[in-house]
Amino acid sequence: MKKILISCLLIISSCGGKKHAMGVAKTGQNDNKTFVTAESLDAEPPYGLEKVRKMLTIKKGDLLNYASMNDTAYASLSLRERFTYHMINPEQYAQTCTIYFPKDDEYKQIAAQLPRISEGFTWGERQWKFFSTNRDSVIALMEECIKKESKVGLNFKRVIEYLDAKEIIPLLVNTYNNGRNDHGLLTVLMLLMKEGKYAPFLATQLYQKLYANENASYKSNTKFNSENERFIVELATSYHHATTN
Amino acid sequence: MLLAGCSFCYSQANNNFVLVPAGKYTIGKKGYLTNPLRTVQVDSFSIAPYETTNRQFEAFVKATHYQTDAERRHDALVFEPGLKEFEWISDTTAYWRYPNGKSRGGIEKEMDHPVTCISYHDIMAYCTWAGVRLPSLEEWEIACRAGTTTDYFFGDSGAFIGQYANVWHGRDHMMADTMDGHMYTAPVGSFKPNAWGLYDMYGNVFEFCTGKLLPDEGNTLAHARGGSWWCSKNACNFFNSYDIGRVNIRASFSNQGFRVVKMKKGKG
Repeated sequence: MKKILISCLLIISSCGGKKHAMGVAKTGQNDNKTFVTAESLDAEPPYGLEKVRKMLTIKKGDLLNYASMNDTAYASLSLRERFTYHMINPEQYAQTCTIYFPKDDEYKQIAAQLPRISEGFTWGERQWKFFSTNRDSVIALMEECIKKESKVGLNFKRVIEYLDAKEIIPLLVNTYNNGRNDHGLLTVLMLLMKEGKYAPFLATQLYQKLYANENASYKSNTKFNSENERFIVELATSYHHATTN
Repeated sequence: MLLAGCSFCYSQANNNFVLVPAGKYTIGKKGYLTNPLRTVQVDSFSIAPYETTNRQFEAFVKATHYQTDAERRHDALVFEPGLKEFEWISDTTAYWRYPNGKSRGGIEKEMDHPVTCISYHDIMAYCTWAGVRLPSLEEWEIACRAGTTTDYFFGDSGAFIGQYANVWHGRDHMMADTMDGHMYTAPVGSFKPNAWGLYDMYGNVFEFCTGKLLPDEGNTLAHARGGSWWCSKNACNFFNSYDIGRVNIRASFSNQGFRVVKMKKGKG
């Protein structure tokens, strides 16, 4: 298992994902370190990536400048380039508790919610609007990237949740089954079923524990084991069938 | 130096600082990689019992004509009920006198509330003027814990948080929550203090600290602790003794504030 995880990290790193500073360097638990690093990777879409990077001459966090691309520059981008821009460049300050506090046993868990990770920035109004206004195109572009890379970046997962993109469930399941180490995908599947108020999921103890319980929070999680893994994947597949038939 | 001393007397009047003796203290939480359970040695320090108020910040602005980041950049982020979890909205009219934007009212009758909608950068300017400093991450936790090693200074269960802190009691942020009488900030000292007489260590506003979590952390990020009026047990659940938040040093939110530590003589 350890070898598989380390191999997966090497593959992920070669795909050019963008890593957030997570504060895991000091852990002696290689399994957890590998897991947390992989779970925090953002996807970097290839569409005009270099062009967008060059246009982002205003360095994020500079003391006197803003993180967002100005309107004129933004208007010159194609839809695909805008997709890349939004995915790699959150524009709005993230609030203080938008920080992921990894624990030393993350790799043994399936989280109820996707980690709130930021380098001080999150998506702003213009960006959420872009995702929702161009929902079908955004989903299609994410599908293209996921198929090519066989992985789903954390930024993609958050947009999938935001767009309630249940049509993408089969691709998420296939991607998960390729490596079976991205617990965040199981989280996304659960979030889609929750958002869709899928009755068979809402009736489970898992749903009660992670989302409905009085003390359920963004820190809630459940044990990662083959039983929970299979249960979530099978239920999400049924949910997809139910919504498409 | 003399000016700084005078302004300090003015701004911190009636704020009897709590002396924390030098010594070894247990901080952190078992299993937390960025704030692990450990013992730290600190020098003595004196920390304000209350968060810095609008009245104190106004004295600074009147004396220096300082313009905050939010006033100059028009990029403050504000809250109103109806937003999804962790969502804030940009409001170009918001700054410390109108922490949630002009349409949501000013602070004229809230001068004893903690000042908010200020950035870490603004706070540094205040501290320089007032001759005070922020607590370090370790000092804040030592002061908050008041000798305890539990998750909260009142035990391991958060069930009694409402007695000690102005937090969000709603299940989510879609509806207004005034269960404890306050939707946004409360006057400082409205809730029970910890054993050392420090008020609002949890809730009301996130309190900025100095220090880094990681050696390679960028200089555009600052840390704040203790949770805020926005925080709920179902969302971030940050009103505890171990969590550490992070935000851009130029960001202005209406749930960010600070409390100060006295400068030692000769270190001003």
